[in-house]
Amino acid sequence: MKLMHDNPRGVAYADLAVGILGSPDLLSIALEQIDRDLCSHYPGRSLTLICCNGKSDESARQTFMDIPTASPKIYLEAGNGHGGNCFELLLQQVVELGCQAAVAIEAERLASSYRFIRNLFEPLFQNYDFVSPLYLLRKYSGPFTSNLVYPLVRSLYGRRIRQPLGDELGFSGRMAALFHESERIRRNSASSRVWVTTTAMKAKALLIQSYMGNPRPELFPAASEGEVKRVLQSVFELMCRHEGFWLHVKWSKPTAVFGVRSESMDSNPTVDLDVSGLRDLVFQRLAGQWGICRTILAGDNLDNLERFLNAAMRRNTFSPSLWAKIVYDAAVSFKRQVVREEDLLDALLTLYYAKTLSFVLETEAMSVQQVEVYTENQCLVFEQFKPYLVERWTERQL
Amino acid sequence: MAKILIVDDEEGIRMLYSMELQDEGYDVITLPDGKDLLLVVEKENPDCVVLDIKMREFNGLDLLQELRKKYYDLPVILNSAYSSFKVDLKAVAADYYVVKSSDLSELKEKLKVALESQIP
Repeated sequence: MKLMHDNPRGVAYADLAVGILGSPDLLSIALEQIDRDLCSHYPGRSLTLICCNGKSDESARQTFMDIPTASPKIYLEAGNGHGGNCFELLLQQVVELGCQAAVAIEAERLASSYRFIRNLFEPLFQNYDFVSPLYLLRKYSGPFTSNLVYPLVRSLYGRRIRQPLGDELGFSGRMAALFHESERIRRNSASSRVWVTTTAMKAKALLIQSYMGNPRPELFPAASEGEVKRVLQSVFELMCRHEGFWLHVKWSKPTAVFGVRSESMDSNPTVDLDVSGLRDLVFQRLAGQWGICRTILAGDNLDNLERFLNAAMRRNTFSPSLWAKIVYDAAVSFKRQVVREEDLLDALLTLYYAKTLSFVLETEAMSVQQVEVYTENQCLVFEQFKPYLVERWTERQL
Repeated sequence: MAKILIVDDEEGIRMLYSMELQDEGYDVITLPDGKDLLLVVEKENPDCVVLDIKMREFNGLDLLQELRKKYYDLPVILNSAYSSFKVDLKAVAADYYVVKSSDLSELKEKLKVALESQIP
């Protein structure tokens, strides 16, 4: 898979590795700082900085290699533009170097995350195997995670990891080897991260969430249509793969936290959302997808959805229980392949838009804290209706 | 019979919780502060800890972090008169957060769920 492997100092072993996923433009200051910080904090441990670029780019390689660091650097290229492969490149390198601990960071997040890198490493020396980021969230940061991926993954695998698509991860050498040997999900970088998080949960690794600050809202761009669909496809595929595990999970357990400090949250931002435009988009998309909804949703859920839509998504809210059952219905339909995968994902994307619209309208007057409580309560509803999923998933088809 | 450890510096709360939870069939032990919390947990091996946040000399959120370091999966329910701690990131390490009330139905419900939760 490696198209380019540039290891000018011939590094064959490292205790620690920092993997930058993506193009290393404008990383200089952050990378120098990470190098200084880690070298002084872990003086007896060898560190290697690894850049894993998904595309072939000679100037990126040169930029990375020109950054003055005391620690050696390795530059890798996958060459096909898939973010997921950047992570695979890193895993392979971490295993080859025999690292005890490694962190992976999306390049575009480095400027905000570099101050917290130690929070990703430190728990790995306290026997934890997998470190997920914990942010001081702002209102409406990552609605796709809050309304779909977090509640679903939490109810399935029973561990509360708030950012299952987190852009920064820490993992032990033991975990790296396990990831490296596990069957992959190769779609994009977000799919790769949900695969890693799920694999760690299923392996019953010791998990922890580390504080990674209060990132600027622009670092949480709304998930693109393609990203939402690829992540959902990956989560559903993992459900099929791991059913022997998650079918036996009841409710959920919390995860320890590391490095948390008190910071005040921002005041409520103004919401830049075109409500009527989104409403029109939902109706427009559903006009062509109602047949798919009729096939994938259970009768009661379809009726309740219709009632919500008939109220033009204004008076009624998209209740968490209806939302949970719709997501579960979609997962069951994915497993049974009752419609084309792409059609199912398109229809679920539309329903996710409807849910997002309802979520914004419901929480408009809420504080950041209240929105977080709303998210947690929604997760409890997903857990409460897990028996519905288990029953539908395991029922025999006539 | 599940064993519940109540940690609260108000005697009235300890007595109320003890009576109500014993009536529900739980075996209840209590602590007036967090001084010996880790020792008691080690000795008594409770199935769940109900932990006050604002005690005179102890902060329940800090005690929770200490507990989690040693007991990865021990259910802990934070119990406070203040709802504002609910969103403190340190509270994330707790199983549930229940605001104190003379009506213990929410606490009982969360206890039941915490004790039922299961990862194979």
